[in-house]
Amino acid sequence: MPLKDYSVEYHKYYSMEEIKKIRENTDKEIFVVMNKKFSNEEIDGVKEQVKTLNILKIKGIFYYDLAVLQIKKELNLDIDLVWNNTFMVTNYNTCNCFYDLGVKYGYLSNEITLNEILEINDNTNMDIIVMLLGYPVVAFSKRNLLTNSGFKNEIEVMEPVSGQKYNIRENEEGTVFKYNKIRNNAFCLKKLLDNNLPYIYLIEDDIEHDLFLEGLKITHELIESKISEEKYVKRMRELFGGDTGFLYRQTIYKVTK
Amino acid sequence: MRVFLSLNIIHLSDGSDEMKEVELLSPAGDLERLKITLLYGADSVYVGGKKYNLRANATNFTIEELKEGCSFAHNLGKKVFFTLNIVFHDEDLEELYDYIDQIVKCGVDAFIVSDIAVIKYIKEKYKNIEVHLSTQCSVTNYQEALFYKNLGVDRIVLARELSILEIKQIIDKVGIDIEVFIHGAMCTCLSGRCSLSNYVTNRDANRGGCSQVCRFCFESGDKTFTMATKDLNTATIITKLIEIGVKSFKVEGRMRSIYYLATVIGSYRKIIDSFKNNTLTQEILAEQLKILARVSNRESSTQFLDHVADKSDQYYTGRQEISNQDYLGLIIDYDKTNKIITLKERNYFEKGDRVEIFTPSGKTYPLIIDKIYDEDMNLITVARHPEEIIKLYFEEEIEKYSMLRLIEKKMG
Repeated sequence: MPLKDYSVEYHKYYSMEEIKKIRENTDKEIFVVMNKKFSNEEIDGVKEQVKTLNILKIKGIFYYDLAVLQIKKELNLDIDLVWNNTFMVTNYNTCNCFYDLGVKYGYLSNEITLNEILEINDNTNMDIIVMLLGYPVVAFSKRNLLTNSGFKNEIEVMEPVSGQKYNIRENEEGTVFKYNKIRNNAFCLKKLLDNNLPYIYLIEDDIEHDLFLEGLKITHELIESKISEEKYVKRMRELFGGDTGFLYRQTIYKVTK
Repeated sequence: MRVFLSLNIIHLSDGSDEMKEVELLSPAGDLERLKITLLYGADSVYVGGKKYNLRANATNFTIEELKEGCSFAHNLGKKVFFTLNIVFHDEDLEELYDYIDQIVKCGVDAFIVSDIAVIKYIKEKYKNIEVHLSTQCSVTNYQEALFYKNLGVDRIVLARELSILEIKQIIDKVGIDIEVFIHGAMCTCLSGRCSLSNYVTNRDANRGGCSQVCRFCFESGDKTFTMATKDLNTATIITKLIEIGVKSFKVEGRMRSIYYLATVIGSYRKIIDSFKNNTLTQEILAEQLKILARVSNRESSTQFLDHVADKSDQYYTGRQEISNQDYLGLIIDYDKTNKIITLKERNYFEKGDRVEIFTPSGKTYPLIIDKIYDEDMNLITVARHPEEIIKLYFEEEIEKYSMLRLIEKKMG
């Protein structure tokens, strides 16, 4: 649950009061997202929120800013943390380093391959989280990129050479870019389960609610071995399309001259 | 009470504090750039090797070149920082630590790093080598800065989205050396928080392959959407940054030319030194701003440092870059007997052009091109071939690595 005023890149946010109510009425594990890069002025507020979440026995906080880890250490809090550095959670070595510093979970980057996911999961003590379904975040800017250029606070754009489309949304925190195709990693769920991956992440943001619930339901069915992998993959593809992003596609970084 | 005057800020200070030593830090994409920029006034340079840095497509340094670069810098009493700031994948890890050990032996003074595992390795193994936290980590607050300080980091290169006040708060609360970008290209998004390049061109921005998609034009219906930023230029406010205690002033651009580096570093050297010895005037600033404007290929602004970056800090019609042809050549020798300059030409010039020689030590010599000779001292009318050796008569002795720049084309 993204905490209002302390998280970015999501569509729907929850106030602390809403989180408290939900926490009181469920025995499910609840994770809270605080993935903003904070300013000096916000640090006192961050401390208060982290302390409150600790009291609420929230399962973990997704953080981007290491101020959160510093606060946990300073205040000697029990609450677990999720390393959520968006594009930077890409190797087991750093996962292990954060684990040694008291971070229990790591939410892997969406821009790595399936083999890399499996290798990281095999070689770290961290509990690894992988996005199974959702619109991938592509970039975040502190600038007001839409209103600066005379657009309303939400548009779809196309990059003309690649033909790729992106949804751009702006609010008071900045501007977020999301790929306009749903990432559907259902193809590899069985493999992830066989690899003992402890958590998968399904993000509802911008996906039609009933469609999302259907995806959630059949994902549960696969995990509980109530449907075959073949049926599951077929149905997920019908519901959400077949974009697997970088799972089978390695990026390059050196251009051959 | 001292009164510091800059172009648009009148700044008052009680003058009670001794001004701390500050560092002018320059990029150097290769050995030639390293030598030139140090000679033109940089106190330190940051460089990349053939692996693991965010400018994978710059020339970069071999181990041998790095050794030579470190010796050159140290002989001048200056420093070399080595960038090791990519976001590592598992496949990068195998050779990483051996590579670090090799780089240490070259004599580097610090590593610029973004990964905490690498920070820990270097700090545990090499007590005398500094670790500087890369701007890739986008540190924006004192609490996060404190985390890195406790981890052993010696210096933090702050996010480029901070105001002067926010920087001051971090300096005051954390007590760690702070480095700030002062000049050059800006990212549109938070450093490290952008994978547009990965998606659009399959080039990994966080491993040095950024294809600068933020300078592309996008379509939104029948409109064009662009998000490119203007460059950063802090010449008018750098005195404030010095006063609040920023330790290091960093210029962006490991892929920039030697002319660009010589000019930009030379200008900031002049501003910083004039400020330190209380001789900075509005005239000096105006002159340096003019020089900086001539070498830039985009418009510039102070970005987030003194205002919330807004539409005045961006472009709206695609790539806005102009090719700069002011740089006429590099002076590689001076023959004292015959008073002849030997120049490696870069851009076209001819008889009648009004030009200026500028030197690493900050001197400038205006002249109007008269006789131009080729390498064998045959008289020619124009210098038209890049890399051609050209000779010019000049009365005063000129330092090696001085440069010739165009002031005005000949009339008619």
